[in-house]
Amino acid sequence: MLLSLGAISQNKVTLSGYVKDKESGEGMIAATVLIKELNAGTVTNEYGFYSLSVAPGSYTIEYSFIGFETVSESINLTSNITKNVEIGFSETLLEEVVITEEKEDEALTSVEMSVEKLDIAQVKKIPQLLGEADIIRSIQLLPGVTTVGEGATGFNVRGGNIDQNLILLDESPVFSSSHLFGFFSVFNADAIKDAKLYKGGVPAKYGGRLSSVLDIRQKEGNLKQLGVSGGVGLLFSRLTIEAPIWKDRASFIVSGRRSYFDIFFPLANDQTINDSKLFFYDLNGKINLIVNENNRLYLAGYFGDDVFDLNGLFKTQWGNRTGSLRWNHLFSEKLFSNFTAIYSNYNYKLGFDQTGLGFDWRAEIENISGKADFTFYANPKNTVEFGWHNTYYYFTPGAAAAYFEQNGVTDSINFQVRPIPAFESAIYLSNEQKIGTRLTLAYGLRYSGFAQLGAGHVYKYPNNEPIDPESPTSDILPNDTIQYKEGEIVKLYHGLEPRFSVNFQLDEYSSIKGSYNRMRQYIHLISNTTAATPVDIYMPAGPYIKPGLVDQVAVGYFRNFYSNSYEASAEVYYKYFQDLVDYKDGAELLLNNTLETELYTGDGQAYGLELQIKRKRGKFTGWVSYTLSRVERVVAEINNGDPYPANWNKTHDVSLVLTYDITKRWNVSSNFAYMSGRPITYPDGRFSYGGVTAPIYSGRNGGVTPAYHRLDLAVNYTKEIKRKYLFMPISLPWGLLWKKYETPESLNAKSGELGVSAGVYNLYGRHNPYSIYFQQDQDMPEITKAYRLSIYAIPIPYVTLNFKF
Amino acid sequence: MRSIIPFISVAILALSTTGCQEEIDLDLPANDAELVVEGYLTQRDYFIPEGDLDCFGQTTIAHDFIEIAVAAVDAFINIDSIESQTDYFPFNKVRLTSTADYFANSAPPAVSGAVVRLFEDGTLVETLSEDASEAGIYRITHLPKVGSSYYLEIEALGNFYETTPEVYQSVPPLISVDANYGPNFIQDSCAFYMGVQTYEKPGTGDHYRWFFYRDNEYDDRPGFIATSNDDGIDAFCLFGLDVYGDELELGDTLITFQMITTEGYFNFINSVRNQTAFVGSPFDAPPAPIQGNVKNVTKGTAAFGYFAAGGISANAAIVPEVRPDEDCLQ
Repeated sequence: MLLSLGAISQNKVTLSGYVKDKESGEGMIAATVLIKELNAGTVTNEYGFYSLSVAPGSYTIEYSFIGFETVSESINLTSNITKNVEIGFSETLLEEVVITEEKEDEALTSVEMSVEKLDIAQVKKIPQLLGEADIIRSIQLLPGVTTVGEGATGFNVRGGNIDQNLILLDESPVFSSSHLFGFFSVFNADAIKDAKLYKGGVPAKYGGRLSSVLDIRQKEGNLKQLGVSGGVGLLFSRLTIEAPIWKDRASFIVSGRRSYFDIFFPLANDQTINDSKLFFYDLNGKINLIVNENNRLYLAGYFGDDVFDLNGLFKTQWGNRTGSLRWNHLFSEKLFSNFTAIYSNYNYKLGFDQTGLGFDWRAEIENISGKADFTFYANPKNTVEFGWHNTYYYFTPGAAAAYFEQNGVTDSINFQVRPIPAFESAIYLSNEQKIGTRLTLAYGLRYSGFAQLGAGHVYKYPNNEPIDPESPTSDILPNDTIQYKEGEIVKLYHGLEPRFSVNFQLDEYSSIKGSYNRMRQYIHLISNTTAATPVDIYMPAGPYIKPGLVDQVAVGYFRNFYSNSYEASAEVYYKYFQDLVDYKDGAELLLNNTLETELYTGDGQAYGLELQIKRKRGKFTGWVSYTLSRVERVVAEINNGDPYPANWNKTHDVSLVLTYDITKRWNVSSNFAYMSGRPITYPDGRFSYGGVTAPIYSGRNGGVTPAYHRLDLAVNYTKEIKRKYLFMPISLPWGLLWKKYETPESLNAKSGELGVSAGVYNLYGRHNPYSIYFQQDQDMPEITKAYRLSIYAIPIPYVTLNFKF
Repeated sequence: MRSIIPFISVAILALSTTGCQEEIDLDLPANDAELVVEGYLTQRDYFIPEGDLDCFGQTTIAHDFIEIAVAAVDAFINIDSIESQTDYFPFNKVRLTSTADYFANSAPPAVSGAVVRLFEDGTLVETLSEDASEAGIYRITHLPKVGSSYYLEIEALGNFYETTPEVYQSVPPLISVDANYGPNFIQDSCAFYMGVQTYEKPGTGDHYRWFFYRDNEYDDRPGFIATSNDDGIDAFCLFGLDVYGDELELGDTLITFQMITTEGYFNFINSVRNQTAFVGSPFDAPPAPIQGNVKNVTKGTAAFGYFAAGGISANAAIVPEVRPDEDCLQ
């Protein structure tokens, strides 16, 4: 394919370069580069790079980005030319346009479907719990995305479990996206430049999860001048500092956020509370260096933790650490490459620590990856992507230590589930091809493999089955073990993952799209709680746990109205899952060396209709979306083999997100969310045993909780402020010198912003059911009752002060 | 800064008090009555090592001391006498009841007039007699033997039922149950807590349940169903282990029974606890059927409850009437 594309591209010249934000110098993602005479163009990639190969000639090139001024350049293309362009924020457009990192008719013309690009500026306006701009909670307002309930970790995309989302932060996988058991996300919006969610039609360069890819890019740091932004909230504060290290060549950004629930604990009269800890923090950092026109380096990192310690009575901690070093290299004007080294670690702990007695449990998933991605801009009609990706995993599914003191001597008992090394590898090749003016195809193939490795032993079971098909609920004991040497392959899985998307543009304002993708997932989150918790364990595919597999098809109709001010879309999808993991009733998952005896394997399907109308321009912006969906699973050993709905099945899901710009300074915004109740298991009766009245459950998830609905409201005020002085960096041989200048009158540019956001979450105090449960009366066990648990049952007001200089 | 502290404190408090749990009305399906079996076959069959007990190589418990302690306890605690004083006592009885609608809100219906047969290693050893004074209670008089297996056949409610055989094992004795004065870290106070002194049988795969009687009243709170297996503590000596977890009142008598059980019973009773006590929070296990060992042979379906067999040991702690003059928190 590459050879033929190369032949096509002969006798052409290439215009390439970077499109950057004039204010910060950062590369702009998805900016449009258009050759007027040919009515052909491209968009910049994740690093702001573009490349176009055309016949020699004189052309007018337009560089544009919605909300920014369009830059038009006349270029005489007689040979390959590198053209870097900076485009600036449009003051004249400011009042009319919401800044979105998207081409105006991108949803219509792009071959991508089932993709949601998150507008960070809009995310900051949406009313959020305690005023904390939250990417994950904003995602949950999009069609096809649900959650088990308020306070649940993660999100569910088109019927997938939360572990089926590949969450990438500057290409590093993030395993837990939530703080405080799901109340807040780990992504500090101040540090985020771009976020894109693939619900379907996933490009071949992504793999390893079944249901979605959330690709989040951190800001790179201002290459032009010092910038400080932040916010002070009731329970959190955040601060971001970005500045050039070497003007227009190198910059850094550091962004931190911390909650301070606990700094007031010492004010309490209770010693236990005095000595307790409850906080989370995030620290994002990034350095980028433009080595020369052909080479750029990015070093990015993230550290975050949740810490809860009730004075040693109970303590838990979990956190992600990620780091990536990327090297962008231009082999030629047409061949863009990115080489990445990635480290990611997710560890979590539980325990208690009292005088003379303690217990610690920890688990961890660690991986080191190397990947190479290439984009070959063959010609305006074909863009080829290819690359490979290798990851070494080290799973620690559980290690525990109990220690106790007797007669002044401390003894301990240690227990560890076998740590599991594993290796995942993938190669891919894809092409996006424009055929004529209306048809665009994207087709690709990914081939992935996964090997669980030694050293260690693997249990053998009678008939090689850890579950007795005749009596699936009974426990089976291993009858033998096999010892594997270090690095020896315990089990190998591999397979193809075809990807295909098509866009046929019906006319200037409408298009139809279709996509098919197959995805494989080699690691599973093992959880048997109603909502997954941050301390659930991850297990790799192995001798008894197969990798999951999904096939998804989707078809959609897209239409824009009123000069692309409105975008409307309707998509239907169908997904068929294979080899999903489910658990035995009452399964013991922690510290279980024979975990496979507690797990069942089954299939599932999800299907739905997603409708959305989005308004992108004007004083009113926002969207309304509706999703009609069903997700169910079939496991031979559960529900007599009959299908049952997954915990996150929500038949109807409506979201209305509106922002109204009253003036340049004032805006109001609101969310309204309505969801059908989630599946729940109701008792068919009860029995008494040992004085305890126990419910009788038969089928799984046969009932439904009452519907969920909520209205949030926010008022945002932003005031521009002008700075009397400017601090400009001067590069000297021995370092960087910051020099103070009086701001020239001629600049008359805003030098900062002060803002206040005030709002109410759950305005009318709806008692939304998180769960319904059944319990006997404490004093009279023969009296049994049903209870509803609501996480937020009252209106929750907030005020946040934001600043940016 | 000082002026905003109350404001922020209120915000913290607000977040922690935003949730609520409230009772609701629900329409649930009617239940078809099915048999529930609750039975325990047990006696004091102790596992006592032949020599002195080696505890971590640091200390030993003399064989003779264990023998003497066990004999003293046996003389002190008479199961029959406890039974006569309490409303409810599960050992060496089979209680038959039937299931009911979830909101029936009345005592479980007793199943009277049933035929209950006890089998030892496949041989009928006793047809149980129903208690004349309490409907649905069938008394066991047969003495079990260590290593034998036991099951029931029951004719009731027009159906024939059978339980899965349980292998009867000896149990380590409770050498002592003490009332220890220690900290209540949650309430930042001091209180008496129980601590058992016992040891675990050598060989993995042992399971235990403890039963508690406070002032001769059986503690049937679901959250206080106490169980353990020997994962990680095989053949350990256990000193001062609080298997109860609740604070003891001054002057209380806490009689503790330690029963060795099968894995099947262990899983069953843990399910009963988890499905009744640990519910409602987002992080609890979802509702699940509680698997017992009773089968409705006539219908080919599962019935409810469990018939368990295993040795039992007992001991008691008497909490002092007066609180010690010491600060346990120091």
